[in-house]
Amino acid sequence: MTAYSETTAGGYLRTTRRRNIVLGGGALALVLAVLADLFVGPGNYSPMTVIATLLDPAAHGVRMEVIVWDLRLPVALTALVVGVMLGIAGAQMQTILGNPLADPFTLGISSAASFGAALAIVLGIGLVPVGGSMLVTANAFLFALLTSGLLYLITRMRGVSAETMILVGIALLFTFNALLALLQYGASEVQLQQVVFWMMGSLGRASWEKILGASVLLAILVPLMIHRRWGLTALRLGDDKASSLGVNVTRLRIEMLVCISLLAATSVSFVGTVGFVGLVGPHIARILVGEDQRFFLPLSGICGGLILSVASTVSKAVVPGVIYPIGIITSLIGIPFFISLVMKSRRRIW
Amino acid sequence: MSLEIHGLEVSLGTRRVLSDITLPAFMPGEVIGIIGPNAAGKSTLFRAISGLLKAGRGEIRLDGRITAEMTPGDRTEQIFYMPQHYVMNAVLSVFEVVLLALKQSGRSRVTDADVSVVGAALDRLAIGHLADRMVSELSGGQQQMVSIAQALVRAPAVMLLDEPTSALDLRHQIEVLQRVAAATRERRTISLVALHDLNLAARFADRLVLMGDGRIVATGRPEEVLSSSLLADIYGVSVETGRTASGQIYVAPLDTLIRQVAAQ
Repeated sequence: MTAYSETTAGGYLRTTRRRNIVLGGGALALVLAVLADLFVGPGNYSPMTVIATLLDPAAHGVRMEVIVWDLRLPVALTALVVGVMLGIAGAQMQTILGNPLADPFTLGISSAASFGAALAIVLGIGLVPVGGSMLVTANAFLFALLTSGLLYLITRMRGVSAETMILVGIALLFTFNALLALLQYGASEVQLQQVVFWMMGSLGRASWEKILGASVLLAILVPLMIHRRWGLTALRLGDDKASSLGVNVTRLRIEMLVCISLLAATSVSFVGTVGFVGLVGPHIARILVGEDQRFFLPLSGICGGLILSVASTVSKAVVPGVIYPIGIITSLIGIPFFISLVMKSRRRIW
Repeated sequence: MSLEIHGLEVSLGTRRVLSDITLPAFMPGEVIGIIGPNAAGKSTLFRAISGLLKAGRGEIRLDGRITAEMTPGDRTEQIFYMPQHYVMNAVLSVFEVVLLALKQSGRSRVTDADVSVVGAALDRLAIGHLADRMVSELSGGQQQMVSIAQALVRAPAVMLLDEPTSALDLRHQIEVLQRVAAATRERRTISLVALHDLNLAARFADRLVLMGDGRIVATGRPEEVLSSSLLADIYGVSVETGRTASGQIYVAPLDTLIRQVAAQ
């Protein structure tokens, strides 16, 4: 015998079951998207050949082993982990800032990474003593991280409110964009081409080391975010309300800023600027499961991974033999899909 | 369990908004009405008690413990604060929003018992039919009811409700205050309720605290505090006070003064 009518809680229990099904379906779709990414590419090898090589690298000779294990799989897995990182980072950025336009790049983190990369490409200046292409990656990562640190310091002095963070972030965004333009102005034609290509985003820089690094980062940060799920959900009710429920709003916002910074800095240093995923992945998740972080957080990651995996497949399939920059593809295929989803959604979001 | 406030002073920047607030101890099962004109310091007093604002001087004790020395988690578990005029625009259902209040201080996993507590709180406030609605789609009054449901599931020692009926129609104002009063007595809670409607305050509060300009002007039973001279002094409006045929205290502005104000 319950002290409440069954209809009151029945809806919640049904919704919870439906959301679990959506999460399961999303995870399945993600696996299929990664497999499709693996099957598509120059050479037109059959899916069965690819799967056989995946299960036994020597099954179809050294050539096939190199194609699957050294070329296609790193790209597919990079699309997966970077998409998941961007989706989660975007979800938490929108949560802590209470702003639907927020994504990991709103606060200038991407611009700082692009500036760091351009600094290495144009002037050969690096923050750490590494050489070659690693200099570009390391510079992008460190500049993204330093910008987050600067953002943190300034907001600590002024008060860690969403409004302060957005205003300081936008100031940093414009500063780095101006510095980047300055570097581009003085760059040679070849350097300029390299900078522009880097900024368009590419999965071609995939490697097993990067995949491992990103996976370890996700394995550390996602459990922390899951641990904070009730506080993060409460933040959507406003600072005062969340505080009155016992959430340490300032600490939570700083913790999440650190997590977002690490995820965004890692993503952008690995693949360049892919701006659309972190913005739209969480919106799709919100339409499907609302903002209860128990569902919103994992589904944002799944949507991010799905968008980037599908974009990776499409980037290889449009013109055989040509791989288009991933940043262009995500926007071109994602935005029409997203707008149709928003138009069909009965629920008012934001 | 008692709530005591001694010599409380609160400043916002350089402006002092609460001065020398000392109140008699509030006891479990009591509904305390906090009344006073706009900017009298009612909300600031609530924010200070809840720990959202730090007091410059003075102390607040809950059951003998200084609240400023309690951990934030412990304090918010004991003291529930419902802010005034806030709008919930999250993509969360009413059930989820109330569940959220329960889970902040409890175990992370949602149990059948949690679902039962939330369902019972919604039904108790007669908003069970709203359980699946998005909170952002509710009217201001319905959102206030959801906030009160959050308070009920937390079962705190102290409830601070800042104008909980400001967006409600007459029937719902009475219903909500009746439920708050009933819950206060049943659960032996100390409920402080800021109200602008003096007639409702007189009807539902066991004691009233009249504030003006950041200070305590009077405390006591409704018939002691709601005197025409005191209200005229604090609100700047002449009023008539008395009792209805059924014995209810009433406060009515005088017609002549309303015309004077309108003429001005």
